[in-house]
Amino acid sequence: MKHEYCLLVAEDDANDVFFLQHAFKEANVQNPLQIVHDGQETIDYLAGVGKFSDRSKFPLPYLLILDLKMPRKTGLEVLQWLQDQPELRCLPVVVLSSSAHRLDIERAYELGANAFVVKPSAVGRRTDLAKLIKGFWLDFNEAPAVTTEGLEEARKLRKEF
Amino acid sequence: MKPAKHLMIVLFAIAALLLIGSVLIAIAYQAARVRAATFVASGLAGLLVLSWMFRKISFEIGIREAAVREAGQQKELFSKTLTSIGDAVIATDREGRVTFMNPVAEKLTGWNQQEAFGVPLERPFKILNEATRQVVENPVTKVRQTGVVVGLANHTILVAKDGAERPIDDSAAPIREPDGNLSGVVLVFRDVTERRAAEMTAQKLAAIVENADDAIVGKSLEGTIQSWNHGAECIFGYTASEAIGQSIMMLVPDDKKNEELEILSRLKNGERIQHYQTVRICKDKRRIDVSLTVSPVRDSTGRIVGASKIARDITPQKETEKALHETQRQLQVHAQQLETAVGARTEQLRSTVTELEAFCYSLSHDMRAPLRAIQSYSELVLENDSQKIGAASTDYLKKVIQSAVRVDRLIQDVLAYTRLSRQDIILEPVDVERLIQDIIQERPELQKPKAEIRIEGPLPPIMGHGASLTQCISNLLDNAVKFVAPGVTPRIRVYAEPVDHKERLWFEDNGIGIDKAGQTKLFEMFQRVHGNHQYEGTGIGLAIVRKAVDRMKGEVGVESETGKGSRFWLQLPKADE
Repeated sequence: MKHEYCLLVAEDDANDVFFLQHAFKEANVQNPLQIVHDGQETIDYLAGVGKFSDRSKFPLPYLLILDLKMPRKTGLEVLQWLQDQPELRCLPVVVLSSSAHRLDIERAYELGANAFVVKPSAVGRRTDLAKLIKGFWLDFNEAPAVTTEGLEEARKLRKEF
Repeated sequence: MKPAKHLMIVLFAIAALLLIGSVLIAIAYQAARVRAATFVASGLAGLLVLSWMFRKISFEIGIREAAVREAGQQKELFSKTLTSIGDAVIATDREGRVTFMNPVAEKLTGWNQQEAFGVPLERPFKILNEATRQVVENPVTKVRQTGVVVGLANHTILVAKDGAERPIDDSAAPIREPDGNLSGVVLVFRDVTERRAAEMTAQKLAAIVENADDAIVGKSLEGTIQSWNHGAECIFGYTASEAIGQSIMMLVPDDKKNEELEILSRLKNGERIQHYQTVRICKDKRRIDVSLTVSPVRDSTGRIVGASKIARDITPQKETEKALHETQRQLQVHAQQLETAVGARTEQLRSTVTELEAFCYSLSHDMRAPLRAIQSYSELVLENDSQKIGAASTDYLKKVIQSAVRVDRLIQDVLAYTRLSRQDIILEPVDVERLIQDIIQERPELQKPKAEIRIEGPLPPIMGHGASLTQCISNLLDNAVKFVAPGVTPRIRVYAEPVDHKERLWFEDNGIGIDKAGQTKLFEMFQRVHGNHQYEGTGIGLAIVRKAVDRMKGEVGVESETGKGSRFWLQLPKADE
């Protein structure tokens, strides 16, 4: 079931995209990966606007894997935008950053990130990470409605609060 | 009482007295010559008889008894008068011998009439010139010579019998008989001690006024200048003769005329104007700053009759004030410039820091990405195709990976160092023993069998910053296990030693040691004491330790010898102090 939901990877570095795809393959992750290359594209995808308006082709992701240092809009700005979305603010986000910059870590959690991971350099470590993501986020973890049933359902559910 | 009038009375009195006296004496003399023998035994009785005879003769020559009585009454009246008047009176006969002295004269001379009687005047009436201390010629002599009234020179001093000296003022007049012949001299004088003192005071005051640096000007209520001291001459340039009689308005600039009128009207109301700062004009048309104090001057009845005006030239004071203000202004300008410069520099520094931060951020993100790519692609090739590329290429790729890892570690170390320099550090008690155990727990390379670390506890708590201290001790332990001779198991002893009020933590290893030259630059950035070959490192580890310890207000050092291991120490304040 859960392996049908897509993961959205926001990463501007083509190498890192490649390594991540490689790691997920090694970890035997079957969920489709949607790739966006900067912060603005990430927001457009999540909002379903522009070239991402077709939700059947670009469905809301089950998990967002977010790089911090990206052109146009940074990962932190994407998190800020998500905060302002009534339903999407629940979207699980794993931040993948090149460094454990203390301010970045604090700010990311402040803005609703669910995990903060420093990108591993070694292939083996990266595969370990992919396996852990699969094991936790794609298996044990239960995601909010917006990631599985879409905005409308999430909206209805939230009215029952 | 005016001296002239007084003299007249005295003269008249004395003249009358002497007239009677001389007649008596003349008759007495005559009688003495005729019937000397009869009167030798009892002069006084004789005199009485003679008096009786005189009376008889008077009667005989037709003078009525009533007239004689009247003369006696007159004599008594004159005597009483002379006795009662406030001035001293001494009368002498023609030869200058004292014949009469009133009580005031007795008091001033210290002689009484009885003892003075018949004594030459210069004895009871000893007078000196105050300045020269020379005996002054007796006025009686002069009167006898000239036959006119003689006044004493000023500054005459009378020396009393007891030596007391008094300034006196006197005059002497001849006593004439009805026929105009001189029969004696009357001397009238008075003690002028008080008057002289008052005169002296007045003179002193006048001298003070005259010699004052301030201009002291007297003026009438109409503003006419009445007095003008030397200070006024110095300040305003007019001499006293030029200024007196002129209007005070000549000193007042046109734009201040109203001010002077105002001052005059306030004076008329009895007000005093004090330290009033204004501007006045000198004879040479120069404007000067003055401070005025103007007071009403009253006559003895309390009526305001004029004003005294004290003017002080405060031009130099004003100039000083102006200079002071200018200096203050300049100082302010300088301070402002300095502030601006400091502000600009701070801004510059801040922008440098911002740039540095941006650089560090970029270093941690952008530079590590390609390193990651180098390492990862090499690893992928090794993983997939090591068979195809052969042993040499496999080795090359391993070296590529090692290099990438080293650069990545370098970057992380530089970032750690920068972070230590920048971040705020709050010192708090740290359980250092626990902290070391935690470090060992997390790092397999610090555990058996790779290494043996013995903590000789208990280690006392110290004041430090947990994260920085962790970084320091990790680096020290890393070095201790790294720099050992091949095949040697690192053995590390950790113990504490109190030094002054601080705690010194020792890290003693069985490593290769460091020579003296190496020890001196050990804690500097990018210093690597041992060759690349054997011992990998970035040369930043101990620089980080030094920086962290500095930030915690501690010290770090090493004792070592090549081949005999090293003893690194950290010294930090005790936690309980």
